[in-house]
Amino acid sequence: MLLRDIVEQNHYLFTDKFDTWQDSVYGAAKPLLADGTLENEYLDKIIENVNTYGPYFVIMPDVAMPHSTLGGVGVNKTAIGFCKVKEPVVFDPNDPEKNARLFFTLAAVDSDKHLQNMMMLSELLMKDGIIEDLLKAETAQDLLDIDAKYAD
Amino acid sequence: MIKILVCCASGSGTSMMMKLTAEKACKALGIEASVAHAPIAEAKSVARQYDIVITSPAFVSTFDSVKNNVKIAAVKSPLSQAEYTKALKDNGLA
Repeated sequence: MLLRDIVEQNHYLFTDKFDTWQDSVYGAAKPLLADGTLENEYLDKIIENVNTYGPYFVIMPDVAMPHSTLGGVGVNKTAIGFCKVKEPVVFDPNDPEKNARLFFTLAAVDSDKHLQNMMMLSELLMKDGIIEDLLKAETAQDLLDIDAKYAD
Repeated sequence: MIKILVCCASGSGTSMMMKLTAEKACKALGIEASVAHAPIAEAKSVARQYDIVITSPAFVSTFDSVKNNVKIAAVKSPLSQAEYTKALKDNGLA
């Protein structure tokens, strides 16, 4: 459901590598920047937050969920962007559990829709085997296949 | 009815996920609970109004000054129901 939405809205990206974790925050959000869902100011704020709090949005090994505040500066629509990068991005050199290859960038202005998105994302990430499948995905069709495979 | 506060850096992404997981854990344990979420910058001042504050390990020390008034628990993964269950049990709430 969520992955289908992401594909239909063109909010996905597959890439080989990002040079730095800062680049990954901007790079993974490219599809959301492209259609005006987000602006760079929102991503600047995320970088600032990481500098203050550490990589708080790496929610499990290999999965980053970059986000700042609901209705914050530079966010215009409510959506989730997906990005897979082949080479793991290192957020904390001392903690390999904070490396990430899967990015779900959150953008939110509408709290109801955001809650709905977060419920879908939570459900999705809790399914057994989904992380392995997402790490193997190479194309939009792969995302649609994964979406269908894990639909209840 | 127990009152749970979950908090993260921004208060709108991770903590929302934490809230959903905490609600799931409570439901599975048969506990009636209300779960609120807040950004770390606001959480400290309202912490005393709750039975337990659940946050990520990096933010536990933020609550040092209120830890005698409210239980503080750390969970590593916002999606691990098992960690929430453990946090509630370890603090005598389940």
